[in-house]
Amino acid sequence: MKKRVFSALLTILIVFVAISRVDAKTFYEGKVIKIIVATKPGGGYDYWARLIGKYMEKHLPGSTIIVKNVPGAGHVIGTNETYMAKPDGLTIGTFNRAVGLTQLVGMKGVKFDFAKFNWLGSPNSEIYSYVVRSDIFKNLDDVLKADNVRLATTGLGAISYITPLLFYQMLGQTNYTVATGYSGAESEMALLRKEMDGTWGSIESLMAAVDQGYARCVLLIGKKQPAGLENVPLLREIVKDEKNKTVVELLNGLNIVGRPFALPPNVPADRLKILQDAFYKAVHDPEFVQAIEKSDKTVDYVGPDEVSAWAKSMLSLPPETVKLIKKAYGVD
Amino acid sequence: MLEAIWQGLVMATSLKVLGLMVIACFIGNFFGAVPGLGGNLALALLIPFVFGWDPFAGLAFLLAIHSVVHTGGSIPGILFAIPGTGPTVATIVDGYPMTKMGKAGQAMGAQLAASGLGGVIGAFVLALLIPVVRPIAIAFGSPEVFMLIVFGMTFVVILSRESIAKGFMSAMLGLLLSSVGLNPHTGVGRYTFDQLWLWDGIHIVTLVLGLFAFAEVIDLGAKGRGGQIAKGEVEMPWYQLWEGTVAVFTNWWLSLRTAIIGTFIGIIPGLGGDVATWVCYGHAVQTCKNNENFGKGDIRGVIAVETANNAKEGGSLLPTIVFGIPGSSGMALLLGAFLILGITPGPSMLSEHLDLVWGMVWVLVISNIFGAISLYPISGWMGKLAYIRGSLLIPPIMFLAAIGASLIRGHWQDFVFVAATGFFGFSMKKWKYPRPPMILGFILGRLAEDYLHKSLAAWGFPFLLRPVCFGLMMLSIASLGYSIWHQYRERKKKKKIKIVPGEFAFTVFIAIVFVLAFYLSTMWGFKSRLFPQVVVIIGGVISFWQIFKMKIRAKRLREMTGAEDDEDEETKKVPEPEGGQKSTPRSEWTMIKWVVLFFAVTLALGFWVSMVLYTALFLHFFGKEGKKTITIFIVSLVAGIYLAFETFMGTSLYGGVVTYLLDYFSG
Repeated sequence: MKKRVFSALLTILIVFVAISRVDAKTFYEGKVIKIIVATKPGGGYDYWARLIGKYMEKHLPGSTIIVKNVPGAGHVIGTNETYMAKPDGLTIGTFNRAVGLTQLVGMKGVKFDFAKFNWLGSPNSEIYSYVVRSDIFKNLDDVLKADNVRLATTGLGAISYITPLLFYQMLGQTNYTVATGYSGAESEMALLRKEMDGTWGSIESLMAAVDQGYARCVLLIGKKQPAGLENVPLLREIVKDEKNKTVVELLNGLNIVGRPFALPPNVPADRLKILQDAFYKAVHDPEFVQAIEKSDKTVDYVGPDEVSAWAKSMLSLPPETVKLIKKAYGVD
Repeated sequence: MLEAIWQGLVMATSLKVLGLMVIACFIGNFFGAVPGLGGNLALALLIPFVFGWDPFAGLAFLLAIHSVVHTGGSIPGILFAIPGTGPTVATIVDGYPMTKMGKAGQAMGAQLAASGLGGVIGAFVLALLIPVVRPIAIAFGSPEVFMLIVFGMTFVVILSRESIAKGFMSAMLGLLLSSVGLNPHTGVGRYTFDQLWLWDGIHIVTLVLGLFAFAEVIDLGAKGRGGQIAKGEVEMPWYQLWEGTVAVFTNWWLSLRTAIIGTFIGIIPGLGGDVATWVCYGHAVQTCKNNENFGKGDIRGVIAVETANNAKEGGSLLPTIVFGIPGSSGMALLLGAFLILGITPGPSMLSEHLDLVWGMVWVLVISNIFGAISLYPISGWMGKLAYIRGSLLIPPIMFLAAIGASLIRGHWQDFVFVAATGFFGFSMKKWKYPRPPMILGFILGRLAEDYLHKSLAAWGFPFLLRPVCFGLMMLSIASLGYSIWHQYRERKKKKKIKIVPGEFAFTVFIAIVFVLAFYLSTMWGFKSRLFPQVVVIIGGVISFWQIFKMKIRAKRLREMTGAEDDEDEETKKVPEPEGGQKSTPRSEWTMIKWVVLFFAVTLALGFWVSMVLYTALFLHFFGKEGKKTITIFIVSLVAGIYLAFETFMGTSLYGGVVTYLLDYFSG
C-alpha cells in the first residue's frame, strides 16, 4: 500500500512541476494560455478555437494552449469572463460577433465594454444569406411580393432574428412573420417540411439545403458571392439609399468579422503584439488552411485594426437603429 | 444492395477499424460514466485527432464513441443514483432500488445486455427505415412533435402510483422548473433573478444529481456508519449478471418494442434521448402485467430504458445521413467530423456511398456489442461497491456528484442548486412524493412550450386538425383515460395512506412555491407568462386541495382513534428494501447536518481543500476510522480526481470563495 501511495504522490508532484515550469526566455515559454469559448464543446466556435489554439501553440514555442468552454446566456457569460480576466496576456476569448449588441441595448448582466477589448482578429468572414423554399419562390422579387413569408429564427436577440427585422424595416415592408425556437439545423428541417417559408443564416451551413434543391438562396450579405451563387444579389446592391447606410454597414460588419478573438483591456502591448503575430501565423499556416478547407469552410483573415474599428462603430449607431435592435432583443 | 451490405461489413471488420472501435468503446464508456463529461465533450476533444485519418476509420472511431456513451453512463446511476448522462436518468428509477435490494448485478447485467441489444436493433431498424425516412420526417412537423410530447406527458399518472395528487404536484414542479431561463420566444428571463447562469435554465443532470444522488446519500448516511447501499452479504455478482442478461431475452417482446420506439423517436430531430427513454419507460409501466413493482426495482424498467437509449442513436443517425440535418447536438458534431473526413452526408450518400451507410450500421452493431461486453468484467467488480460500509462511500459519491454538477456547464452556482434540490429530493422521498413525474415534467415542459409556439406560428390553432396530430391527440386521451381508470382500480385495493409527521409542512411549502411563482409571473407579457401560469395554477389548486384533505383526515383520525398510534405498526410492516441499520429522524438529522457542512466547506474553500478537510472530518467523526485509513483514503481520492479531471480532461475545479477573495485582495 505504501508503494501505491508513494507513486500517487509522485505522479501529482510531476504534474505540478510540469505545469508550473517557468522559463524566462520569452514570456510565453512555459506558459499556459487559455482560450475561453463562449459555447459548449462542439460547434463552430469550439472547433475554430481548438484548431487555432493548436496552431498558435506551434508558433509560440514552449507554450501550452488550452480551451475552456464557458457557455451560457447567449455568449454573454463567456464574453464577461474574457473581459474580466487578468490582463496578463494569458487569456483569450472568442464569442459571437453580435454579442456587442447586448451592450448597445443595455441588457442586464452585461459587464463588458465592447469598444475596450484588445483584438487578435478574426480567422474568417461569414457570408450571411436569406434562404427560402424553392417550390414557391424563384427569386428575391417573389419573396418581396409574397403576402406573408414565415421565417424560422433561433429566438430574440439572435442574428437570424435581428437581420430580417432590419432588412424589412429598411425596405419599409411588413409582409413577413417571425417564428422563434428553431435552433441549429431545425430551420432547414422546417423548410423541408414546408412548415416555414424561409430562414436567415450563414451560407456555409445552409448550402447543403440549397444543394439538395428544396431551398433557394435569394440574398447575400458579405464581401462577395461564394462560388455557385454568383447570380444572387448582395444586400448593398439592393439597399442603396443614403438613410439606410449605417444599417447596411452594421449588417455587413456583423458578417465580415466572422469569429472575433479578443483579449481583456490593459494587456501589456508587447505581449499583445506577440499574440497577434502568432494568431496571424496560425491562421496562415498551410496545414491550418488545409484543415479548415477540408471541412468545407474558408479562411479569410481579418486583422485586429479592422475588428477594432468595427467594434467601436457598432456602439455608435443612430438612435432609430438602436430602437429597432432593442425591439429585436425584447428590451424596451 | 446485398453487395453494399457485404462491403460495409468488410469495411467495419478490418483489423484496424476493429482495434479503433475497441479503444473507442473504452473512451465512450468512460466519458459516459463520469458525470459532467458526456459524449459531446468526448467528440469535441477527439475530433482534432482524426484529422488526416482514413475516412472510414475516423468515422468508425467517432461513431463508436458516440454510440456507447450511454452504456457506461448507466453504471453510476444503478449503483449510486448518480446519472452519467441525461438519457440514463430513467435507469435510476428502477436500477437503484434493485441495487438496494442486493440485485445490483442483475440490474447491471440487464442494463448491459439491453444496451447492446437495443443498439443492435436500432442499427437494423435504421437500415430498414432508410427508404421511408423521408415521408416519416416530413410527416412529423412541429404539431405532431407537440402531440407526441403531450402523449408522453400522460404517463405522469402511471408514474404516480402512490397518489395521483402528489404525482401531479411533482409534475407541475418539474414543468415550472423547465420554464426557468431566457425564453427564446419572447426574450423574457423567467425566474432568472438577474442571474446569468440561469439564463439557459437548469440542466437535467444537475437536477437529478440533487433529486436522486444527494437525496440517496442522506438516506444512506441516516443508516449510520455501518449502513450500506445494498442489503445482505457480499456475493459474487457474476451469477446475477447472467440472470440480468437472461431477463433481457426472456422479456424479448418488451425489448423489441422499446428498441423500435426508441429508434423512431431518435429519427425526429429535436426530441432526443431524454424523451425516448421516458416514453419507453412509461410505455413499459403501462403495458406490462403485474406492474406494481415499477419504481421499486422492477428489472423491466431497466430493460425498457436501456434498450431505448442505445436504439435511439441508430434513429438519430438517419436524418444526419439522409438529409445532412443532424438530429441532436452529438450528431451535429459527428456531421462536422464527417465533413472533415471528406464524407458529405445528404441524399447523394444513399446513391453513391451506400456501402458507407452500411458500414456505419455495422459499426453501430459491433460497437454496441463491444461496449456492453467490455463492461461486464468491470461491472462484476463495481457491483461489490454497493456492499462497502456507507461511511467510506459517502464522501466519494458527494464529491463526484458535486464536481459533476459544477462541471456540466462550468457554473459553480449549479453546485449550490444541487444542494437545494438534494434536500428537496430527500423531503420528496421521505413524504412519498414520487420524483419521476417531476423529471418527466421537466424534460417535456420546455419542449412542449417550444413546439406549441412553433405550431401556432406556422398554422395557428387549426394545427390540431392535421391528421397525424389529431390521431396522436386521440391516443393521448385514450392513454390518459386508461391510466386514470387503472389507477382508480388499484386504489380500491389499497388502504388509506397515513400522514407522516412533517408532511403537512412540506405540502404547505410546495403550495407557497406555487404562489410565489405565480406572483413573479405576473410581471411578464402574456406570451411569456401563459405556460408558467397554467402550470402554477394547476399545481397550486392541487396542493391546496391536498392540504385541505390532510386537515380533514387529521381531524377524523383524532376523532376516531384518540391517542392510539397503532398505524405506526402498519408502516413498519412494509418491507424496506434497504440494508444496514434502520434510519431514525435523529440519524437523518445528523446526516443532513453533515451534508450541509459538506456544501459549506466546499463552497468556501473549494473542492481540493474540502476533499482533504471535509473527508478527514467525516471519516474521523462519522466513520470513526483510524488515521491510517483516513490518510490512504484521502490520498487516493485526491489523486483519482486529479488524474481524471485535471490531468486527463484539462478542466479545473471550483476553487471556492477563497480564491475570489485572494484575487480581490491581491488586485
